[in-house]
Amino acid sequence: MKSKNHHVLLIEDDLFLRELYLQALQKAGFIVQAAQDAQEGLDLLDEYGADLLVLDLMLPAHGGIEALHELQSHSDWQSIPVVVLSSVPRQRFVGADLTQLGVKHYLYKPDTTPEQLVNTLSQV
Amino acid sequence: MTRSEGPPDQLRLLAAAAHDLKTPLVFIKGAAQQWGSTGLNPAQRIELIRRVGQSADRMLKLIDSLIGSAQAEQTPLLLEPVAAGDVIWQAHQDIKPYADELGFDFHIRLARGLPPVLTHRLSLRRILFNLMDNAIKYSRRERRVNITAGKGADEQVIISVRDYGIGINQADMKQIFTLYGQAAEPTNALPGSSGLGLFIASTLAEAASAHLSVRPHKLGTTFRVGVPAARQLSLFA
Repeated sequence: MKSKNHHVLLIEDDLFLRELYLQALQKAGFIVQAAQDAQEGLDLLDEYGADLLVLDLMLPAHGGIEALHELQSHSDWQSIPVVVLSSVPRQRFVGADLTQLGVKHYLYKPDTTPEQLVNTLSQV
Repeated sequence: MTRSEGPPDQLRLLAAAAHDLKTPLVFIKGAAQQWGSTGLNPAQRIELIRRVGQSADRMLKLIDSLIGSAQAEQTPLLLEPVAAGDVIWQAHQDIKPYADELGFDFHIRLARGLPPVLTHRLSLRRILFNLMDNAIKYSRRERRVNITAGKGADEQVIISVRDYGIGINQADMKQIFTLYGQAAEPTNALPGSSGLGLFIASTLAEAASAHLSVRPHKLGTTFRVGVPAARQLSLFA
């Protein structure tokens, strides 16, 4: 996905990280909406839509997995590619089939700099 | 020789601590990478380095809290008469840099004639810090936290921390002070972010002769800390 004019919805509860990623994505030319939690993210999705979702799995109140299920339940949102950005290593995540939930990439936060996030989104 | 495995609670605690320490570390690493990139103006650089400092500070406070909580479980704490108002202000000073960075207003109101409370000063300070931090975490548009202290029933002083945020699910209320969200191995249950701060507050409260409770509202939540008033010893008994 080329960055220019593509809409990204970023859902990340930590303010410092959210703004770090937001600035990096905007600098790369993405149009970004940023949310602190799943509900706010879904509200922004409803209002603005998105070409791609960057999602933290550990969110207050309702987790990221719940948000993914919500996405799949809406016909307008099912096809939005998802990049998960999580502090939980991929190999330790068991349970939900993330591919079925629209996840295209699983990025481990400690190994992912803002620049690497931008590179990944540019390839989606 | 078999690997020793800690009890499930210890694994949950480790998982929660690991997550809460990783977050600021990820920011620091990302900030270091961004610092080296072109395109940052001087104001952005200053903000970045300030946030690096605050992230390091948060990690240090968390480590102190974890150690304090572990010690409190092992060794009885020495309780003493403490001015609750002083501890409230100290905890507020601890959170203030972070709260200011996020644009939060803290309103503190202390009833007149508050008696001293019988508790462990440092533990109470950590409990209040964690409740204030939690209030910030769960707040959204309303960046306001109200803290009050007054006399309660049964010779107690009640300290309340009220936020106007997203609130707590009814289903989560029973486990609010536990590490329910931190399974040793993650599953698709990942219900929400770490409740480590509240778990530590609860552990410290038990050791410091304090009692924690929570009350949901339509908008936000109130956490209450009940601490016994210290009886004044009369020299002229």
